[in-house]
Amino acid sequence: MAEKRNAVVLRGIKKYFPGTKALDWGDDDTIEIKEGEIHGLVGENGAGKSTTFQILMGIYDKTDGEMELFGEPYNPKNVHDAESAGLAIIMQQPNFANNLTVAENIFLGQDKRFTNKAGLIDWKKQYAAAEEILHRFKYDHIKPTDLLSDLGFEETKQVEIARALSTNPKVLLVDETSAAISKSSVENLYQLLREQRDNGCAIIYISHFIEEVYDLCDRVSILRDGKLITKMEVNESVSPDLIIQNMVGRDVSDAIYRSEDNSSIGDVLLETKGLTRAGEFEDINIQIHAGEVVGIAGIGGCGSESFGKALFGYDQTERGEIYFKGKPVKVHSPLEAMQNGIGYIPKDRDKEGLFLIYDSTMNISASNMKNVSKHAVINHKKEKEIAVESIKKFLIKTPSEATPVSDLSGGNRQKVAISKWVVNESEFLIVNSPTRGVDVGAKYEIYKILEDLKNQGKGILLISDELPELIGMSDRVYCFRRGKVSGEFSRDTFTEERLAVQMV
Amino acid sequence: MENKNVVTGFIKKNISLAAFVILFILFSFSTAGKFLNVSNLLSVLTSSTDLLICALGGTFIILMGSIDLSVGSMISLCGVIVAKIYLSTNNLLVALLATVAVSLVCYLFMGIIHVRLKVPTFIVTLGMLSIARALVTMISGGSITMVDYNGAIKQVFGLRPWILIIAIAAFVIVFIIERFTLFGRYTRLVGGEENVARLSGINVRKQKVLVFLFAGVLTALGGIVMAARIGSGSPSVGVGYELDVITAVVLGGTSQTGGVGGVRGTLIGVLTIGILANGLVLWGMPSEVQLLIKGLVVIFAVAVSTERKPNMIVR
Repeated sequence: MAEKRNAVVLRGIKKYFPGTKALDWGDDDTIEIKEGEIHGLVGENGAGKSTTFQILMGIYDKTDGEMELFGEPYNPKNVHDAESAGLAIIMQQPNFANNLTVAENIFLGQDKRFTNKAGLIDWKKQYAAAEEILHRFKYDHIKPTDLLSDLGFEETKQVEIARALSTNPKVLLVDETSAAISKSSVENLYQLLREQRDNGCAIIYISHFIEEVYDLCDRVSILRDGKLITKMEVNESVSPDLIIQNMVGRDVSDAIYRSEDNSSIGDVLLETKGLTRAGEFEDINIQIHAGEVVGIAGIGGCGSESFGKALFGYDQTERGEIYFKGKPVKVHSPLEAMQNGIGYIPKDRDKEGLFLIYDSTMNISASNMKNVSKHAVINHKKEKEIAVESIKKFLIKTPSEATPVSDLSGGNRQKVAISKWVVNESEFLIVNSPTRGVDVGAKYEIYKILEDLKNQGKGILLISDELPELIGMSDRVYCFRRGKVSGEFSRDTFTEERLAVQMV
Repeated sequence: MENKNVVTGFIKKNISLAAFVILFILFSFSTAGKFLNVSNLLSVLTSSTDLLICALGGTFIILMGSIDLSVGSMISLCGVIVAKIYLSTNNLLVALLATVAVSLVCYLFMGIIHVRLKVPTFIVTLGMLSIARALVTMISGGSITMVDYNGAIKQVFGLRPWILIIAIAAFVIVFIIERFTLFGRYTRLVGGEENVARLSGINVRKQKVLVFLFAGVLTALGGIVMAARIGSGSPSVGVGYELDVITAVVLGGTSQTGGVGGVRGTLIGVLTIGILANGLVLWGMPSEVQLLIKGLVVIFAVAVSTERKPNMIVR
C-alpha cells in the first residue's frame, strides 16, 4: 500500500492568552494528519482542542509553532484563507443567520455563484443547488426555502453538516457534533464522514465520546492542559479506558457515577398531578422524594425538556397542579419557583445558565442575592467569599473569582452554573443535560456534586438524552414518549434496553 | 514594550478620561487664559448639570440594554410644567411634586408598554419623543414661561452653589445605587443577558419598569434644573438632547448593548462634552462646526475604546 500523504502537519503549536496557555506543545511535538484518515483529537475541556481548530481555521493567530498543508507552510489570516485552502469546519454550536433560509445559509458568502447578468441573485438556481446538496446527504426532510429559525436543533446541525461537506473539503474539522443529535443522525454522520475519508479527505474529529472516537477514528492524538500527551493508532491493543486515562491523567474507568447507597431518600418533595401543556406534555403525574435522583428519559421532542421548564415556571401550563412538600404551589415564573426552593440548571448553559461577560462571583450570586444582601444593599465581601468557597469546593479551574466565565472551559462553566443553585440552598433541582459538551474528568466531578446534593436530602430531577448517565445516576427513571409518561423503572429494574423500548 | 501596552491599555479603558485630559490641556494652552480660569470652569460645570442628571438616568437605561429617545422632549415638558405651576401656585413643593409626577406617569407608560406589549424601547421612547413634544407645545401654547429670578426655583435649582451641590449629590446617590444595591445589580444583570437574568429568578419586567421610573425621576430633576438655569420653561428646549445624553453615556464607556459600564464613566463623558463645547466657543467656532466636532469625537472615542474580537459582528 502506498504511503498516504500528510494533509496537515502541526508542530510545536503554542497559543497564549492573557493569563493562560491554551496550547503549549513542546517544540518538537508534532501531529500529522494524513489524507484519507479520520484523526481523533481528544482531551478534557480546556485541553486546547477547540483552540487548535480555531488556529487551523484562521480565527486565532498562533503564538508560536508551524503548520503545513500538503507540504506547504500554512498560515491562514482569516476564515476565508482557510476555506480557500480547502478546509471546512462543522462547529460545536452552529453559526447561522437565523433569519435567512436554509439555501441562503448553505451558500453564505458564495452568492456570486448564483448571480445573473444583471447582478441579481437567481433564487431558483440557488434553491435547486441547495436541494441537490440536501438530497446528496439524505436530508430531504429539510427544504431549501425553510427559515433557519423554524428548524429544530438537529436539523440546524444537519444543514451545517451539508454546508461544510458541500464545499468538497480536503481537510474537514468536526468539533463535538454528535453530542446534540439523535442516534440515527449520528449513524448518518458516521456514514458521511467515512465516505469523505474514503474519497481522500483528511478529517480531524473532536468528541467527548471516547467510544465514538474508538469506533470512528484511525488514529487519535490526546491533549491535556494545552500539551500534546501522546498519539496512538486505534486498534485492538488500545482500549477506550487507556485513552481516557491518558486524557485525564488518572484512572477513572470505575465509579464515574454514584454509589448504590439509597439511605438518603425521604418524604415526597415534589409531586405533579395531571400537569399539561398543550403540544408539549399531557397529564403528567410524577413524584420526587427528598434525597432522590429521578431521571426522565426520552428522545428529542418527547416533552421532557418543556416539563422541566414548566416546573421552574419558565414554560406555562394549562392544567394540573404542582405540590411541593405536600402543599399546592403556583409556579408562574422562575422567581416564584426560586422562592419555593426550586432551582433549574438549563441545557444551554451559555445562553440560559450563565452571564458569560461576568465573573464567577456575579454569576454565582445572581440567584442568591437575598443571601448576600441586607435591606437591598449588597455585601460584596460575603458575595466574594461564597464564590471563592464554591470554586474551591467544586474544583472550578479559573485564574480567580473575578475572571469572566467566558474564559472558562465548558466543564468549569457548568460547575459555575450548578454553584448558582447550590449556594442559594435550593431544595429541588431540575437539571437538564448537566454534562453536555463536558469532558470525562469534569463529568465525574459533576456527578459527584449531584450525589452530594442527593445525600444532603435535595430532590433532583435529571433530564438527559444520555441513557448511561440516567442509569448511572437515577434512583428511578420515568420514560417520556410523545408528551406522556410511558414507563417507570426503579434502580434495580432499569436497563438501557428496557428504557429504550419505552422511549421510541 | 510591556510598559507601552500598559499605557495604551489604560487609555483604551479610560478613553473619555484621556479625551478629557487632552482637551483640557489643549484648550488651556490655546485660549490665552480664557478657558483656564475659575469663573469659566465654574460656568462649564454649571451648564453641564442638567446633562449630568439626565445622563445618570440614561446610564441606567442603557446599562439595562434599553434606550431612551424621549429625554429631550421630557425635560422640556418638565421645565414648562414646573415653571407654570410655580408661577400659578407660588409653592415650590407643589411645583416639584407635580413635575416629578408627570414625568413618572410618562415613564411608567413607556415602561409598561415596553414590557407588556413587548414594543422595543427604541420605538416606545421614539413615540414618547413626539408625544411629550406635542404635550408641551399644547400646554405652553408655544410660548415660554419665565422663571422669576428671585423665586425659589431659580434660587435653589438655577444658581451656584446649589445647582452644583444638587448635581453632585445626584451623582453620588446614583453611583451608590449602582454599585451597592440590588437595584443596581439587577439593572446590570438584565442588561448583561436578559434570559439568564430571568432564569436566575430576577423579575425582569418589574426591573425594567422600575428603571424607567428611576430615569423618570432624574429626567424631571434634569428638566427643573435646565429651566432654572436658563431662566424659563421652554417648549423648544431639548431638541436633539437625547443624543447628548447617549453621547455622554457611551463616551463614558457604557456598552450600547447593555451590561457593561456605569455612571462614573458618564460623569467624565458629560464633562468632556462640556469642555469641548466651551473650548470650541472660545475658539470662535460656529455652532455647526461644534456639532460636527462633537460627532467626530464620539465616533472616534468608541472606535478606539471598544474591545473587538476577530470576526466579531458589530451591530
